[in-house]
Amino acid sequence: MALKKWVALLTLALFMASILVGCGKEEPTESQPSQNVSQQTEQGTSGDDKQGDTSEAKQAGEIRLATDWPYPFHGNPFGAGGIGGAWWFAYEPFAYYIPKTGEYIPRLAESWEVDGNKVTIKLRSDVKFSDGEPFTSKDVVTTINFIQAMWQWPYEIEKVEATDDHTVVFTLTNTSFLHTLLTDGAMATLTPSHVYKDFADAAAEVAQLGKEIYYMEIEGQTVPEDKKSEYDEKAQQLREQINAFAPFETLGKIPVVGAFEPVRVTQSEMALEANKYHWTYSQMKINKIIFKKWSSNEFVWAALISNEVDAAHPSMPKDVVEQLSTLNPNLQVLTVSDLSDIALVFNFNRPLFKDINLRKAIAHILEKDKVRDVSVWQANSYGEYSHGILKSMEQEWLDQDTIQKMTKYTNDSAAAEKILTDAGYKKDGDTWKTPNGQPVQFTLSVYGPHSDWVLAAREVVQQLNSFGFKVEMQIIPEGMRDQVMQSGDYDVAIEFGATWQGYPHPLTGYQRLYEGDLFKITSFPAKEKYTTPWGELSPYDLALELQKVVQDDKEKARELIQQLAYITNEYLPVISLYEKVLPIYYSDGYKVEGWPAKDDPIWTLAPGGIERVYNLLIGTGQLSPVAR
Amino acid sequence: MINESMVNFYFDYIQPLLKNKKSLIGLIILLIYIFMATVGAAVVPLDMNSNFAERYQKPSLKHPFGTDYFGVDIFQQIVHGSRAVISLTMLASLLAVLIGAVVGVARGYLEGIAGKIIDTIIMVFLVIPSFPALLILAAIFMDKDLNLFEIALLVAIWLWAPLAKQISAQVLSIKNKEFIEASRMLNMPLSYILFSDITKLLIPYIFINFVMQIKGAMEFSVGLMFLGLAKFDPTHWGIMLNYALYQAGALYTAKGFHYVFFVVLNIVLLIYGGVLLSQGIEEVFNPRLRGNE
Repeated sequence: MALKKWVALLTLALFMASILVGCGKEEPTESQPSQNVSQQTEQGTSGDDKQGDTSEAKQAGEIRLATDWPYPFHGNPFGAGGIGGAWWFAYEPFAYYIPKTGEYIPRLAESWEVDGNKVTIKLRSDVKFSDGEPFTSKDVVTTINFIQAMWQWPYEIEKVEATDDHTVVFTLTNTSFLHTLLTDGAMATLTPSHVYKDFADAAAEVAQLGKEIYYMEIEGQTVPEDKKSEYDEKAQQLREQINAFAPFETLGKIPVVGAFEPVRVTQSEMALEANKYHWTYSQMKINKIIFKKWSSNEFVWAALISNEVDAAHPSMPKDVVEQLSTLNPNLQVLTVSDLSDIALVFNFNRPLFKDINLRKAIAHILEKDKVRDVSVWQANSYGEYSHGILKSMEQEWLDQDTIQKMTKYTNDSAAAEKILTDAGYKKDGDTWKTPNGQPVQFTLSVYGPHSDWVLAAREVVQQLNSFGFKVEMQIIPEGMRDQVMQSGDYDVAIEFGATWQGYPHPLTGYQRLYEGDLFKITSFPAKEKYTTPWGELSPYDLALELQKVVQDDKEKARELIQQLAYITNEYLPVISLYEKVLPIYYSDGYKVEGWPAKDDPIWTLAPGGIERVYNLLIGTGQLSPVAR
Repeated sequence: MINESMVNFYFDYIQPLLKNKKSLIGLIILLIYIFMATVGAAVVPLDMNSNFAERYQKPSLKHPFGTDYFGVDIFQQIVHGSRAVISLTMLASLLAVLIGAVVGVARGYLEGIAGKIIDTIIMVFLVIPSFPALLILAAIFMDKDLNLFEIALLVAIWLWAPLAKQISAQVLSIKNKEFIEASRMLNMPLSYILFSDITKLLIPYIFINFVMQIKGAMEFSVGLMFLGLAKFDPTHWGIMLNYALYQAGALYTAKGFHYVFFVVLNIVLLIYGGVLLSQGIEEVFNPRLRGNE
């Protein structure tokens, strides 16, 4: 009996000791499986020999951010989830573009020249991958081949040539692609030649075949079946090989040109270390980035309150923001346009929505500011128009004369009733009926995982039902948005309307509306001609013409934009609800200081990749660790 | 004759329940919610128009439970949402319990190939991860306009298996008791042995499971709404809770405490009422517990 007692006590003591040992660990994440601990050690020692290292003692500053990444981490930009939020730190574009000032900040490119459809880019000569290999124009050619082979994009690049180690010449199908070429992070450094050399020839062949087929198709030529089969077979083979390639596992690292390289990845944390060969390395005061897993918005709210992360951009209800500022006085918040708007989009295959009177009535019924308040309270209000130009850009792109020609859709139930009554609709009891006696009844679909969209949909449904329509809300399950929208299995939906991400210009929005993604899912009759003060015009033709003149004839481009804005507002292919904004939260002076002023144009670089802002601020030495 | 049997029924079943404190309180709570679901909507008008300026108003005479993130009265939503909660979740729980009890009793009693087949079916439903399965169901049924019973059945399909497993274990432990042997010797039909001899003993156990399933059914029905399988009802308590926690962040602001509190309170009270009733039933009808009184 006594022996049992001692054994029990000993077991208890051992148990307590193991708990105490566990508590003593500094990094709780170490208990999680780390994929590359040995690699971290190896790099730490070999780093001393790197020629890019400076003798100057560097401050070991770090910044903690929140993002998502695939796990297990493969380090393959073409694999599922790519490299997650590390993208803009690891890959460099030719230039950054600041929408507010229209300024291009050179990154990989020292300069560029445009001659007709030819773009010649001079690369920086001091660029190296993080493993010390030099970066040359050959890497750019390899990358273009890979992205065309893997993503069947961008076929706007007809040809790419490396004329010397630091000069690349692109031949484009149209110059409206110039901005994307210069600023997209995928254009130059995804596939280092020395890492992807085994697949490079196959990628070049598949890219070439893909382009040939694409050009034949858009020219209306018949593509020979054997060519198609050859392409399908080779592309399939290449994609299988590339998708299975996991450089982070096989090489133990992903050599990158960017300022930071992922070195340790667990399920909950990703650590990036500065690339000692990066041209900004000597100016950096922060040389480590810790990403916390963005598991949910609520986690990020809590992490901001507790200073667990130094900056993040979650959507946050107004009262939570107020509470946050009280609990964490270091926290600053600002908003920038997300270069996109949220809109009510109609399915023009449904006879109900072919009637412009109904669409105009809906535009009058909706109290857009209420929708904005409950959905994204910081968003920019759209007011009375729905012209397809982002509200924050309205003054820049629209003439007063054009605005005066447009119909104002004020929130006015009486105006909506008049439009409907004049068009033969009747109100029977509480329900409006169409001229043929059917109730105005439809479903509003909304993508469930986008919580701000769900809130907007709830409000829109409520307002339309209060008016006398019969509207039900339908949630589109996670992962099924593309399927539902592209198959046209909806009546009305909450979707992105005009999005200007990529190339922040009205052209991007109107292309989406009249010949791009939105045109395909709404089936708006964009090729028909519509009455305008400038005569009978087709928005499809106008968008095509705008694409041709956008770089070379600014005056003509502006004229076309006025016409497109007028058609969009008068014929309502979509009803814009509010301009989305990106709220940015940063903790100033807790661990990191040196944040720019809230109205600094640099913040407008954030939409589509806020990491570029952080990267720029770190690379210029503006952000620094707080001295304690 | 009918009157006599009804009187007997009252004295045998109803009166003992009314005399037991737990079952009486549980019954009152449940009746309040049933009353709320049936009559409440006609008495309490629902105004879902949002008023952002009036969000998070504290409880008052005008708004007994305060207002939510949209500035809409929470009490009105609780009353109108009770219908969906009572009908959908209770029906789903009932179906789950029915399926679970029938399959569980059959599995416990039957031996040989039949028993193994039933066991395999139970195991299959136990190990299928419900969320991916619901995603597949969403893809299949998205276009269909499912009625209340069909939706409840969809929920029940993912809830019955654990109960069936538990009941089969209970049946295995009692199927060799003397009174079952006696029924066998008397050549009583199998259905009599299964559903009269055995099931009667399990009724309190089944009932408490029915109550406990309500929570699961509520979560599932919310999942179905977010998957687009069920009609989206913003007054459903589960949806209200989802809005409060994940959309409005009510837990992150002191202003929003009552928003979460009143929704949770009603969910807890409904389930607690059921638990009390089932405990009361067990105390009244279980001879062993009655003997200890």
